[in-house]
Formats: sequence, C-alpha cells, structure tokens
Amino acid sequence: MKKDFRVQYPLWQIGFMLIFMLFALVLTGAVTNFVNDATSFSYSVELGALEGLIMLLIIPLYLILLIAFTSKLSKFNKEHPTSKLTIWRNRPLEYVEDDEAWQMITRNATQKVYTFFSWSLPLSAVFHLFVPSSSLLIIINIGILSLFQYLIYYFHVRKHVKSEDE
Amino acid sequence: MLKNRVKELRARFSYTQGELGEKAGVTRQTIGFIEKGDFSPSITLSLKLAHILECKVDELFWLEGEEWK
Repeated sequence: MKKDFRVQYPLWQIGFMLIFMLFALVLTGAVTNFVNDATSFSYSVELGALEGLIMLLIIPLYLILLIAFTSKLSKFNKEHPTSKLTIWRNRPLEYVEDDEAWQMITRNATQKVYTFFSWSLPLSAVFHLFVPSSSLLIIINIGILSLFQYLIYYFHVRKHVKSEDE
Repeated sequence: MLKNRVKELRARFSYTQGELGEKAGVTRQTIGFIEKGDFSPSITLSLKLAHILECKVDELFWLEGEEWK
C-alpha cells in the first residue's frame, strides 16, 4: 500500500509545487516587456545569468517529473482498470476510498486539512491586508499553504499505511 | 474500546487477511485495521464477518471498559 500511487500523490504535488515556486521566483525577478497597441502585441521576459541558469535547470526537471508522473499514473491505471484515475476531473487523486476503513482514513485526513485551512486562510488574508505584498509573496504564501495541505494529508494516511504494514 | 476475535476466528478457518477481506468485500488492509482495533467496522461489515466466520456478531465484537458509558 505504501507504494500505491494515490498514497504517494501528495508527494508528487509537493514536487510540482516546489518547482512552480522556484519558477515564480525566477519569473517575478525578471525584466518583462509587454506591448499591446493597435499595431503590435509582444511579451518578452529577460532573465539575468543566474536566473537563466536556474530556469535552464528547472524546465528539464519539470519535464522529467511530468514524464515520471504520467508513467506512474498510467501504471496505476493498468493495474486498476476498474478504478482508473484521471487528472481531468475535479476530484483529488489522493482519495483512497476502496472500502469503509479507507473512506474513514481519507475523511479524517481531509478533516485535518480542512481544519488547517479554516485558520490559515483567514490568517493569510489578514497578513496580506497589513503587509505590503508583491505578487511573488502572495504566490509563495499560496505555495506554502499548499505544501502544508499535502504534508498534513500525506502524513495522516502514511501513519495508517505504516501501522498496517508492520 | 471495541475488542474483537477476528484474528483468532480467521486462523480457525485458515483464512489469510486477504481471503477474508475478499469474502467480505473489503481490502486486506481493512481486516488488519479491524484486528488491531484501529477501525470499528460498520454494522453491515460486522454482520458479513460474523456470517463468514460462522459466529454471532457479539461473539466477534464486544465493548470493554469506558465504551459502555
């Protein structure tokens, strides 16, 4: 069960989120030129040497992660033809609801995440209200909340998977 | 807490957790959770397990201590 794609899915999301945050960090520090007039439209991003290097590293990293993710998803779907997963639905892929015990574990994990958001979202709103916030700071905040969301979920489910494997 | 004899009766029938789970329509892990007392099954699942293990529900599951209050 430990290697079940649905159990590991939060870790994939954390990986994608970290890359996205790095991407946002580089992009918001770049010089951007935006032209939109009657005769032309252009949008260009100029990166410094370090930012360019980071970008050169994170794009292949993102592609590698995406290929690995797709292959894992496809493997899971081959092994579970009756309960295939797809990213094209609004239901989180990490839900494990094979039977009533797993439904309980999933429900408890989502309750923990809900509890986390019930205080962290208002706190974030107040923070951005009083602290002058750039778009990067808001993105970082959303990214951190998302990281905690997946960590809370993952550790709750993992605790049960671990106890079951012992 | 809810106590049970699932492990003992399962051994009597020489079922593995997976086999018992399959007969009851649940995963192997769920049988493991029940045996360890980590999960209290629904009435439906309790009835199914009691039927498979050929006993009454209250012979399979019972409450102990503070749970009665």
